[in-house]
Amino acid sequence: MTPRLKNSRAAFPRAQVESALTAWWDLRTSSAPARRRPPEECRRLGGTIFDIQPAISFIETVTAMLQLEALLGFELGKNAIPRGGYNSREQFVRDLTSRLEIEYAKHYGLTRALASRSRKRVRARG
Amino acid sequence: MARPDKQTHSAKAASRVIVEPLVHLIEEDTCPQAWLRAVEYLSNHDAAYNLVLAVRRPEVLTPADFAIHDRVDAFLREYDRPSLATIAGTIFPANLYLHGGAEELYTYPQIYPRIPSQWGTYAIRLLRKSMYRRGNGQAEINPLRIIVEKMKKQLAGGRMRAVYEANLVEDTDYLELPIYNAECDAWGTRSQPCLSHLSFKLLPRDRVMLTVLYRYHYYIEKALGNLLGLAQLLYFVAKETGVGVGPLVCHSTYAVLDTEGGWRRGDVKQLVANCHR
Repeated sequence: MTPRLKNSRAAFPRAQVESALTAWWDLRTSSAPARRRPPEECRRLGGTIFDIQPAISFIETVTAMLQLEALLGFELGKNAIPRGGYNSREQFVRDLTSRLEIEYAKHYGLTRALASRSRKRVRARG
Repeated sequence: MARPDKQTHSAKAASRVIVEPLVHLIEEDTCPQAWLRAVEYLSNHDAAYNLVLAVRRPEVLTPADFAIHDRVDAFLREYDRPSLATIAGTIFPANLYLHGGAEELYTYPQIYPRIPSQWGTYAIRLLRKSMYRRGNGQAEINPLRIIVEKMKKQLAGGRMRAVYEANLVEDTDYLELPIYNAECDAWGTRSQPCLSHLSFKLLPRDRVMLTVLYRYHYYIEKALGNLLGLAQLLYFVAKETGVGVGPLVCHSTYAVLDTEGGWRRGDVKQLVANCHR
């Protein structure tokens, strides 16, 4: 059965969110200074203090999430944003999409069942 | 930012605090090496007054340093504590600089209101300060940008004199970054900033040195991440000014071997042993 919403808001725009996050990651990590040396190479040959950084940091994740507020139609709370960074685009897109789906469900009052299902999915992926 | 301090000691606890020597100095090439020696020094005690770490090449990480980093990072994650890069980011949001240069770093105050409270408060104090200017009332300044610009002017204007005199900084106010803010910190006994002050010095042969003062310093959960963040900040100031990266000196006026994260002293000793492998 399709989950019912308390208001007329459509279902969570999963495809658009995933697409926007993927595009954001690609743009963010494509610039020359952002291209990093492989971690294995740093550990074998040495490097600098910047080689400990994740591909995308916690602060950058905040900016990615904020750009989706217009699409989602509401302002995200501070706790929606995960601490720590990401080294894989797939992990970034999967984790943030799941978190945004939960926030979306909370905000638009989806049935408790959907929110619970989403939480289980996040834990399973965690 | 600070967690509740346990500054009231029982007699038993006081006996485990190193009071003498009055100052203990550790000098090493890199941040992880200095941190490791400091934790070894603290490992049979609860805390020490005036532990000073001097790092000759703070921007460098050797293969052995990466091994220390990875072991400490894994240790902290095991106890569900923030990663070293996350701790470093509370001082210097490095990815903003890596991806967008200084201009993007300077946008941090716009992002700051949207991140969870108690996070990144050192960085915001470095990048935004409200101050009174005669004739203009209250104004916001960017202390870090001012430091870079003043240092550039000093290099351009009085380069020779600056290079060869013993006291190379003519107006130290330009190169000092107080984190402690009496207006909001003076009355509290908890949640005061642990990092109190940063001082940049221009050294001979065009290098910049950073000296920092910690009021209270957790050595397991925070110190290595703090050193890495400070080294990134020092690198930023040096590169943006156009000079070399000099030493990093960290004075922990009260250095603590913290166990609030859930680990025991034995776990710390095992961590140190693993870091030596």
